[in-house]
Amino acid sequence: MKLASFLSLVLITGFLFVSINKLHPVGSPMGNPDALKDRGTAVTDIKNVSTMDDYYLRNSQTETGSNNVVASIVFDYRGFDTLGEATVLFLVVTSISMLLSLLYKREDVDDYEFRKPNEFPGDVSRIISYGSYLLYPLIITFGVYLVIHGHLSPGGGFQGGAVMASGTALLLVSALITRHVHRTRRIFSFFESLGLTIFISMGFAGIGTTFLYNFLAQGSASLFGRAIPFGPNPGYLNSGGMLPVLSFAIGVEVFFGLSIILVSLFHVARHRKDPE
Amino acid sequence: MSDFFLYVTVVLLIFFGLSAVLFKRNLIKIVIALNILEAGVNLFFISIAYRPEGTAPIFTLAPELEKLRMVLPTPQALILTNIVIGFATTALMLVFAVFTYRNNGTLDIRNLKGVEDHD
Repeated sequence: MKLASFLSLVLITGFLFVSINKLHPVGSPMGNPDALKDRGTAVTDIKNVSTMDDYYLRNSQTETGSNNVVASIVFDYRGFDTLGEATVLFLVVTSISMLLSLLYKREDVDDYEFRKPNEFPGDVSRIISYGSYLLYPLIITFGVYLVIHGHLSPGGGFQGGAVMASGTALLLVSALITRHVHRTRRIFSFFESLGLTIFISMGFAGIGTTFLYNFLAQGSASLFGRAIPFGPNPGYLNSGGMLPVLSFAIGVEVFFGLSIILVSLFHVARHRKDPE
Repeated sequence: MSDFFLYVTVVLLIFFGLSAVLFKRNLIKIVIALNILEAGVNLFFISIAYRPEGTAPIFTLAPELEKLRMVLPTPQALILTNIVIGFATTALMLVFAVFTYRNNGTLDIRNLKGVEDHD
């Protein structure tokens, strides 16, 4: 058994090392440079043959109205992929919540309790308690900024949701959320389902053309429909079509989904019963 | 070989992750090893997407078009997917580790119930 493991490890690593020689060097053109003589200057690289990426870079602004090309790929060109990803996250949160709820009895943890900053649980110092109260609004604000500006600057629904969920982790380690796990999970799971529902209904709203069609782009400027020409610009919040809405939906889903995971794991660690 | 240092790093990360998955006995360490392996794959995507002097593929306040060089956006979008899926699977694996510990009293995969010794 050990020999087989060792052999497979050596084989896989050796194969990877050999295949390095077949790759193009980091940052240098790949493919045949002569095939691109008539293509003019591409945005990615003059001799770059990656037609798909060049198409995205050249057309994402005029087609989706989004300055952030990565966000336009994630939420528009590959929106169906993102729907599957959100579904995977939803399923994982569901299964984790279901599995961990087997581990503690309901009456142990169901009484509602929210600590005020001047009530100390005993194992948390005053600095941590007040510092959490100070930091939590800032973390949430930064996460909301990342979600709202997802089509203009680095960020988006997933990153902003993860940042906001780190605020939940801060509340957990500073013992500000202590014992109301079932109520918390009920509220959180409602909002998580709401995020995924918004995503899917926005997909069905554009069903006249295709599923998840960006029907808001090049529409009215009050509904994120401002037309953006190709090229650098200072960034307009009312552009992007459906991207801000989908980003908001994903942000809500990721924030509450990750919060459910954190709260469940924290309460299992806190209310651990001895194995029989 | 100096051009390929990123690829060598990718292979080393995958090697470390894979060897730990194959030879470590602790379930938590196996989960960490899978995360290292995933980091290697992500680094590979970033490496093939790199362009010299390329900026991030975002047009907000970017340089003017004549001097504009951007890295490839599609691998970054794929990595975005990969990170979220990696987080989800890691959380699920850790929960399974919790259940394994509660059912067996140990995280050592040699001492699990129903596992015969193959060495």
